[in-house]
Amino acid sequence: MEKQFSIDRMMLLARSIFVQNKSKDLRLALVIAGVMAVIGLLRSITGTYHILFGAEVIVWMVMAGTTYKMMSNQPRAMAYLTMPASTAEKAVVTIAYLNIYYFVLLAASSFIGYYLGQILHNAIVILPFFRDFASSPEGHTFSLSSVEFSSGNPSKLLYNMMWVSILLFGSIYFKKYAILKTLLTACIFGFAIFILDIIVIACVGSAFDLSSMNHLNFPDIPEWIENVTYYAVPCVFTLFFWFMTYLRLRETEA
Amino acid sequence: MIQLKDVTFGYTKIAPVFKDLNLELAGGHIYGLLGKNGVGKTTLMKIIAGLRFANSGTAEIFGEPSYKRSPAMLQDLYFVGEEMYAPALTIRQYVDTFAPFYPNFSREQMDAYLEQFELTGCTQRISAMSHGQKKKVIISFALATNVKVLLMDEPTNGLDIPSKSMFRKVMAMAADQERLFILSTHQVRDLHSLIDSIILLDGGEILLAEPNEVITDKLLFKVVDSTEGMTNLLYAEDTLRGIYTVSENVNHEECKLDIELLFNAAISNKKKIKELFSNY
Repeated sequence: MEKQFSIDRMMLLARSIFVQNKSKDLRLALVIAGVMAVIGLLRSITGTYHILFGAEVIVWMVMAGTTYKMMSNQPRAMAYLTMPASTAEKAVVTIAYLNIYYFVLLAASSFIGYYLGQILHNAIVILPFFRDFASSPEGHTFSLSSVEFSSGNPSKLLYNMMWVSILLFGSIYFKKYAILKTLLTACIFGFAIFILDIIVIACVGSAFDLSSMNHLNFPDIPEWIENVTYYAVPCVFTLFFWFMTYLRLRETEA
Repeated sequence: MIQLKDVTFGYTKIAPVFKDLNLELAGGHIYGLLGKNGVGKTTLMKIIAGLRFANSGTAEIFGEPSYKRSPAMLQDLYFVGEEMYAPALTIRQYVDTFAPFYPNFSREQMDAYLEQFELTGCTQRISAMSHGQKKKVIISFALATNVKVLLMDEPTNGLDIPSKSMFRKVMAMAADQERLFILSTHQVRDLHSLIDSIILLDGGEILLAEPNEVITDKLLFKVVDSTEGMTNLLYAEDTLRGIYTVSENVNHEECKLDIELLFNAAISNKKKIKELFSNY
C-alpha cells in the first residue's frame, strides 16, 4: 500500500515552501523587528502585551493569507496541487510550517527587535538630555520577563493556534479576499453566538445585564470542568479546522 | 495508461463541456489534442491530471482515479500549463528545490535541454524572464523529470521561430516507447512533424482519436486542380497552389496527413468522420 505520509517528501515540501518564501519572510522579520524595536523604545508609554498580541494577530493573518495565496493564483495552484506528495502531507506541512516555523520567526524577530529597542531606550535614558522625559520604571535594566509573549501562556498559545487554524481554513476555502471574508464570517459567527447568549440568558429568567455576560456563574459546574473546557475549546476547534483544511485541500480544483 | 470512462463534466449543470466521454491512450505516442476555442482541451487535460473532477464517470491514470492525486501518480505526471508558475528562483535553485520530487529526474538531460534552448549558465531569476524563456525552462524541467505522462497546453505559444524548431528537437529527444505526451495546440503547423496521433474534440465529444497512419488509411489528402468528378469528397480548400482536398481513401492510397485540413474536414463532416472511424 502506498504511503500517505513520507518524512522525506514532507521535508522536501517544507524545503520548497521555505525556498520560495525566504526573501519575503526575511522582509517580514525585519519589519516585525523594526516595529518591535519602536515598541521596545516606547515601552514606558505603551501597554506591551496588547501591542505584542496585536502584532501576533496581524502576522498570523499575513502568514495564513500568503501560505495559501497560491490557491487563488491558478498556475501556482496547479503547480502546488500536482507536486508529488499526498494531500495529507501538504496539509500537515502547511500547518506545521505556519505553527512552528512562523511562530519561531515571529518570536525571534519580535524578541530581537524588542531587545534592540530596549537597548536603545536604555542608551537614551542614560543621556542627560533625554533622562527627564524618556524614563521608565525599569528603564536601566532589560528584563526577559518584561517581554510577555503568548508562548509563555499555554491557553493564549492554544487560542492563537485556533485563530491560525480558522484563518488557514478561510484562506483555502475562499478564493478571493480570503482573509477579509474569513474575518467577516468569524464576526458574523461571533455576533450570532452573542445573540444566542442573550436569548439563553433571557430564557433562563435573569434580567439582561451586559456585565453578567463575562461573569456567568453556574454553581453546579465543578471548577475543573470549567478549566478543562477552557483548554478543550481551542483544541477541539483547532483540530476541527485542521481537518477541514485537509478535506478542502483534497477537493480543491485548479 | 490513461482511460476515461463515460466522463461528464461541466462548470455549470446546464451546459456540460463533455458528456459521456470515452478515451483510452497508450504509451509511446505523442498525441495532438485539437479543437476549437472553448471546446474543453485544457479542461480535458486537467481532468486527466486530477486538477478537475468529473461530474460523473471515471478518469484513470496508471489504473487509479486521477482525482486522488496520489504521490505515485504525480511522480509520473507533469502538466505544463499555458500560463506557468515561475517562482523567484534561479534555474539552479528551481532544479534543486523541485527535482527531488521526481525520482527519475536527470540533471544531465536538463542541462542538455537548456543548452538546446540556449539557456545554459543563465543566472536570472525565472520570475524575471520573458514568457518564452520561462516556457523553455519549464519545458526543459518537465522533460528532464522523465515522467511517463506529460501534458502540455499550447507549448509553442510564446516561443520564437528558432525556439519552435528547438522545441521539436528536444521533444524528439525525449520521446520513447514508455512515455505518453499530449500536446494541446492551435498551432498545428508547429507540431505537425511531432504528433503521431490525433485527438479531435468538438461539441463535447471526441470526433476522432486515432494514430496518423489510421487516419491516412481512411482519408486521402490530395492537392488537385479541379474537384470535378471527385467522389467521396469531404472537404476542399482553394489556395494559390491548387485545391487541397480531403476525401475518403477508398483505394488506400499513400498520402501525407495535413492536420489543418483534417481538422476542417472533421468539423464540417462530423457524422461522416465518426462513421468512418467507428470501426477502429
